[in-house]
Amino acid sequence: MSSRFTQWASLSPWSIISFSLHALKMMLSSGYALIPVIYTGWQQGFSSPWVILVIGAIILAITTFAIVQWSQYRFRVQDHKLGIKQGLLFKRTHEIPLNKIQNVRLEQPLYFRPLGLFSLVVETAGSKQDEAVLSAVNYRQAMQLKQRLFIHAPTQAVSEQTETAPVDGAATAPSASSIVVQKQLKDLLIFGLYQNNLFWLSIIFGSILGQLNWDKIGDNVFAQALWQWYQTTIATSLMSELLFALSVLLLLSLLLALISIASAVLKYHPYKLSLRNNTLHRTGGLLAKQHDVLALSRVQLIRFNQPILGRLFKRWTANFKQVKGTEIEQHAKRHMLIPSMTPAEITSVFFKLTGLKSRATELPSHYQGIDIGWFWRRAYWPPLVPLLAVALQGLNGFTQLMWLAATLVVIALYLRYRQWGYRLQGHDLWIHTGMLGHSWQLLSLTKVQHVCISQTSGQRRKHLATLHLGMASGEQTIPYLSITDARLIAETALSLTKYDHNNWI
Amino acid sequence: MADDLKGPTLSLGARQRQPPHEWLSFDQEPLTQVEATYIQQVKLENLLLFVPLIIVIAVIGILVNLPSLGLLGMVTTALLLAGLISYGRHKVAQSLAYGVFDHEFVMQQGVIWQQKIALPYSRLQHVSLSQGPLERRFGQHTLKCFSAGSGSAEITLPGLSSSVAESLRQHLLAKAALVRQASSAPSDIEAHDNLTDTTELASQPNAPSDPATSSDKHE
Repeated sequence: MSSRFTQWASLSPWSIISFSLHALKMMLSSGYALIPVIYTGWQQGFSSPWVILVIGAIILAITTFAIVQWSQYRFRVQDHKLGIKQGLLFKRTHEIPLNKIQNVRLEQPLYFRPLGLFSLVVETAGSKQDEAVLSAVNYRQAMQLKQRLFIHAPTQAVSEQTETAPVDGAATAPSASSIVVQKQLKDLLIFGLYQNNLFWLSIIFGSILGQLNWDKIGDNVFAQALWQWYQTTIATSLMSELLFALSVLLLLSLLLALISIASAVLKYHPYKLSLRNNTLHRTGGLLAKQHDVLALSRVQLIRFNQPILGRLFKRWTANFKQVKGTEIEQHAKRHMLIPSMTPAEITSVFFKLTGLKSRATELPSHYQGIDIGWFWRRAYWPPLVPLLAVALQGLNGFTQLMWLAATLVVIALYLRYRQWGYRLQGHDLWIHTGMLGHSWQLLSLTKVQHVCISQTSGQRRKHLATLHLGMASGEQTIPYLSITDARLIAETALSLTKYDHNNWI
Repeated sequence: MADDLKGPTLSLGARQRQPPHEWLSFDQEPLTQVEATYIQQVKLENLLLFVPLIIVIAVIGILVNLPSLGLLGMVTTALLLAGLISYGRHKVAQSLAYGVFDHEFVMQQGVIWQQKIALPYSRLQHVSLSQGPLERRFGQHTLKCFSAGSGSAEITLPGLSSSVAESLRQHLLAKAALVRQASSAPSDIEAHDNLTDTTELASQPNAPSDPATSSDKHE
């Protein structure tokens, strides 16, 4: 490869902007304790010159800090390692082996947009906070750096990619890659609508708010006028009252749905997922352009999720889960997903992703459910509380409400039991969970880190067990399955990992 | 299942071929109990924990002039609770067992939920031995095995005597390294890649102070 970036180099001076904003963010996030002090001081009357002086001092301090940081920041790529030196008083030197780099993200914050600059975020596994950020690089530099950083996958396609893309061309993928999936605006609108978790929140909170706040805001003139109007036109019959409440709820949830749709479009809009050398590249985002990279071999688990609204549209969201406990996962959770997939699309997409350890290309049609014992063991607890309350207080409005809550909990438990199941397909294991919505989790048993079979004496009598599969992305649990199935899955995982030393994370 | 065919040629001490009805799953294999000294240690721990606590509760009760019936009730409840927790801890300590097998390390724990955990050597990243003050008094060690992910140990096994603990740690690490070496022999590109990685990391002289590389070394 070229000898570029082998010498210690500093960042562009524009990175002072991002350094100072970062410092400001740090100060604000750690300075919550100061807020009340400032507030009370302000209430009792700060003289205004002081305020200006303090603000000026803070700005000066931050800018100086940022300039110092920029002047001390050096990076290079040498000996298959990314080296970073920074800090004036507390010097820090990082050496990140290139093969330990998990993910390289290209971000374009809003303030870099007019300058056509990007931030390159390098994420590694194992280090909690030591992701490296190379800010204020231009597109060409960013692409070259990315090539240098991502050479651990054997590539020849990378070297021919010396294109000079347009400055706003973060979304244009290199020619060597193949497009896996592209999403139109319509798909993202549907995604925003069905992924809208606030829908249920709004229904619950809407009804609570509707009951609580009437008296309190009753003093307000406008509220009184509104109340008057309500009394004369709506409250004339029960029917119209009900209709009114329903339409208010609908309006509120529609509003929240709109917010969700807008955020989905802003985050993902020109959604494109392409594949090059078994590495996924996702681009998109209207406000801040993002370019996420994920090596397929790093994927631990794929989660196909369908919220209750998604069931109406028959659309799934696919999430790629990576190693847990680092910042990577949090970023990846937000970013590395395929929205709005139809079952046919799932097949066509996963047919192309041959680099995955899991082989499955379509969602299973059915699953082996867990034993009803799981439900019975839990079902008698919730009614116990209202039963006790009735014994103490007798039947009144409060205990009736408790009964209602207990019934709802039992129904929820039953739905959860009905949806919990598994299916073993060769080396792949599918786990199905859900309550109102549902999800399939696909994991390759070659990625399992430990297996655990847990039994109570009751389970032992009924030849049941609980199986835990430890993955780098977190533990997966199947409760109350038959002991033979638990052993089959566990032993399959153990025999697959026996001689497989390949890096699985 | 090319991996399975590879097995016997690798001289990793492959198990004897057995007909299906003789197969034992990992949770059925017999295991070794932890040291009896460890159970003594847990008993002492319980005493050290609860005796002062109950005295303190009694003294506070007397100081705030609790009626004697209330005091009696409180101390009795505390005693009962302490007894229950001590008994539980004692039973859990008795349930601890472990086994070293060809390809995995197995551990058993738990009284109500009896767990058998198997950790394949190929997924073992890091092994640590620790010793608390009380453990030092009893000559006991706690073994922790780590893999990737959450950062918490996959296996935590207390109650190992000094000689067993150290040799067990050596053995686990050697097994993990052996799997790595033996499997890199086939002409697997990725395997070769990984071998160079590990040697590179091992020969890297710098930076125990460097968080990125030092934590990566465990991989």
